[in-house]
Amino acid sequence: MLPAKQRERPSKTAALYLHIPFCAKRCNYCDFYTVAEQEKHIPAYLDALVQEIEIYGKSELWVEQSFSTIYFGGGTPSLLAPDQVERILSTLRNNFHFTQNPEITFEVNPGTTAEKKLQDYADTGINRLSIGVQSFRADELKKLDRLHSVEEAENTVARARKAGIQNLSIDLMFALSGQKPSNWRYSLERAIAMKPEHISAYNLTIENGTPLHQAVKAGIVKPVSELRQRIFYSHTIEYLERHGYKHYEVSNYALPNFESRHNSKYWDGSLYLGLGASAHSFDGDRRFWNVKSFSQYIKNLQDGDLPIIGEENLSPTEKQFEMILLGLRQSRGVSIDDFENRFAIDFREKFQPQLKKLLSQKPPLAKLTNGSLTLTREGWLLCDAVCAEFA
Amino acid sequence: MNINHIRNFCIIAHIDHGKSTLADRFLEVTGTVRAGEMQDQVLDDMDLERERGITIKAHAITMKYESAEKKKYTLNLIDTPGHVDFSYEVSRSLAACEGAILVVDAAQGVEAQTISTLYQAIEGDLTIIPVINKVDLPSAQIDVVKQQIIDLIGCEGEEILLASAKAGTGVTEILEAVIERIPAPEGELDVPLRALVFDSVYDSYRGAIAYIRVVHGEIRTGMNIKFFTTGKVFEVAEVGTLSLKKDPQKSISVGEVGYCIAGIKDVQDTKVGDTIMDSRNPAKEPLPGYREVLPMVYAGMFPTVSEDYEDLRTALDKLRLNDASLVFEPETSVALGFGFRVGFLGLLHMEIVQERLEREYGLDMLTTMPNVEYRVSRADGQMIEVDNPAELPSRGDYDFIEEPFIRAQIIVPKDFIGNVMKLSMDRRGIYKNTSYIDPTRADITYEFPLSEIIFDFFDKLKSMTKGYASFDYDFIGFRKGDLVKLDILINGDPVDALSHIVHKDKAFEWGRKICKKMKEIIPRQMFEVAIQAAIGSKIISRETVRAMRKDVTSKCYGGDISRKRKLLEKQKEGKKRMKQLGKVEIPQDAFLAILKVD
Repeated sequence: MLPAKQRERPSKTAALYLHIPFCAKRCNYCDFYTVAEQEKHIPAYLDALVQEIEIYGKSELWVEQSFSTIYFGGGTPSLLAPDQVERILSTLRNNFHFTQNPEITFEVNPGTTAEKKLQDYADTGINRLSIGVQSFRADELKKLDRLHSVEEAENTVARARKAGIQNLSIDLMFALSGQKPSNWRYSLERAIAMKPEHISAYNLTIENGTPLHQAVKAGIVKPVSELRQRIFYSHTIEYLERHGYKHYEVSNYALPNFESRHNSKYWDGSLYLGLGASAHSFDGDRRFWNVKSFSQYIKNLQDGDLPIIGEENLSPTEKQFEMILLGLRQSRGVSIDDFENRFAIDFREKFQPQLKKLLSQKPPLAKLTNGSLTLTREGWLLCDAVCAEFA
Repeated sequence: MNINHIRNFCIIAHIDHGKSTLADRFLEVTGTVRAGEMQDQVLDDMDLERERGITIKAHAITMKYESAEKKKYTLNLIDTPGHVDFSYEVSRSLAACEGAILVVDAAQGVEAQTISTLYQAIEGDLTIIPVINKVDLPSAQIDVVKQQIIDLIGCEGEEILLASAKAGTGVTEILEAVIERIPAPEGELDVPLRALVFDSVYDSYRGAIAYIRVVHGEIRTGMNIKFFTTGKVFEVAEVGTLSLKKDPQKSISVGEVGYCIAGIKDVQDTKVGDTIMDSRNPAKEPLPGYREVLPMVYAGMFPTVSEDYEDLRTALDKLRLNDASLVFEPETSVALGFGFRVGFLGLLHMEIVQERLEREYGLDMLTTMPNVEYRVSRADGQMIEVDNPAELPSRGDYDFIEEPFIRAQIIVPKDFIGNVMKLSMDRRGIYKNTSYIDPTRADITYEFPLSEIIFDFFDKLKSMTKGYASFDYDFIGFRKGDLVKLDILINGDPVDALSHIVHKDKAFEWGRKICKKMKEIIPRQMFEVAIQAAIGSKIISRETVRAMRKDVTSKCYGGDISRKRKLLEKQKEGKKRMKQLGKVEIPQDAFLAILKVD
């Protein structure tokens, strides 16, 4: 019997994301959906999350998938007690198929992580931590509104190691207002001294609607010039590569074989199921997302409804563009064979003007090597402009 | 209709002095419109006109009025355009009237545009009824304005009527004056037909509709008519008078005003100022005063996406059906591809055409810097007309260039005379004469090259005189000028659509300012962009748009790839509205940079 709907079914495994929107405090630069000082709502939220998992547990599409990664993001997932995490994970195991050794990542904020707690997390099956360090300088942490100290950040890493977690990622942030290149180098040095397997280094983005954006508009905070941002970014790539961290995505660096498997799923066109308020899912054709408000999220599920608020069916053109933009954001680039096999389009012919423009630039912004289109050093710095050429 | 009971008149007034309000009151008082039907300013029936507060196209309306002496009259109010771009159309509207109501704002006094229209009216032997409007304003200076009017038209103080159109006072007195003072039309019924076309509009169902004043004879449904200038013959399908709607009649006769529909496909065949005759029994002479309308300003119009070229042609064709003063021909630009060189009466006319193409036809277009028409005496002695700077022969191939000149009349409170002189000198003005309208207001005459006043002169004049100056001009002919072609180069390549002709003494300053303005307008790209100004092979100015240094969003996270994709699509969308010149993307604004240079 033929399936009711012929859909694109990559043989790839799928990814699962859980959003924990609660934070002890909202950071001034953050535009992710978070709810500060609302921890009392956590139990009701987790009930709803379990509900949502069980609804998808009845969906043929998602039950057929084999999930290879789970990611707890936030917000601050480390506000959850280990038994709450265990409850979620066991519900997941009861409802979906997982590969042998799934990557289970948990975002933690330093300062929310006693040694016992980390040990307990590890016991639930969590095998990767993403630690929101941001900076190893006290003045910068203060400027970023972070609650933790430099010492707590370092302690968290040490405790995680003690708890037996072998895959650690550190989040760092650069191009802070008034930051000197030497200040940034200091944070990078301290970071690699702790030998994390993975580093995410983000250029601070001033997002509309954040307190930081207000401060910039009011002239209280001076934004960092483009030239300085360029220097910070180039320096980061160079420094981390020199120390063995492969620059595998715009803002991500990893020791060999420690690339984030979960994030790579987003970027290689795999299916992903996002659970929790504001989480996004992708079924190969359709991207859909949940309501942002956690109270609305809870209410919908209490009523037995899925909390989906928006969706988008990707047109072939949109799929093509996503494949290119996500490919170009990774060092592996866009595989022309893969593209042509997937869309039955002659890549070089279709994008002839773009290729000519990018490859003939001095210095060139992209190159064609081993059948893939990848960015050059200069191209990385202008990644958005390069990607936009293909829109 | 007894010809003695017809009055044909118009209202002469500066913008905002109350012409439309007064017309509305006439319609109410005569019962042509009931108060409930009243939409503000009934005569201005184009949206654009209403928005701009300018009457662009003349129309007419017939009102029935019973006088104080209980006699029944037909009053034909003919509307006149109120902008310098349309002065010829004004003259034809005036030619359809025997009288004019001069409306002057009690607070503002007489303005230049009013004066030029008034001159035309007096020259055409029209009876003038002076009215001071807005007499109830606290800032009204009735005595001062009265004296201005007396000095201007040489009337007696008691001939001047006082009114407040807004409040409705003095309106009946004006209508009574129209009957008493304006003569009935003169003309003969039993002679061959001669009717003046004072306006025409295009109706998609009925074709070109001519608005006419029958000067001699009679026009009847079914009759064969001939237009004098084109010689074309049509059969009259319908004639009628114009109340709020068209009111078909069997005929329109000597002295009357109305419309004529005759299956005419193109307004080019119903030219304003033309004479309609009886084709079987044509009059020997046309009515006097017809003039071919010549464009004063030219600009290139190019579709933003080249596939829209045919749509643009169709839209221009359709607009031309409605606008006999619009001329265009295909133009090819190296930079912009296929488009049209379009001639306009003036900058306002250009803006109106642009807006109509965008609004009514949904076209996305790029308009190049407007320029005037030049005459070039070639080395071989032949005189050619150049309406596109890109087509100017190279320096060795011509002897001299001539540019159009105008005579300008500027009316300004005497305290601002110094400012006006300074601005005029700046614009290569040649001072002619000053006279005084009253002890406080001067009427200054200058001659200018048209190119110097066409763009922002009036705005500058207004701002330098705190808004008090008023301005009008007439074309007076071509004169030799020391002119050069200024080219703009982008990354070394000249952009033909950006070339323009300037006076030699101004070339350096212009070059510098345009490069600077272009630098502000052209966004940074993935590489450096050089902007240069050149005269011949000599570079006179350079600016550089630095390359983008960093453009990369750090996060592409949480599965919300849609957001990232949409942001990039938007980034690209912004570029689509730009023109690609070689590798460089240029926003459309850049092609009008000259208009934005201070």
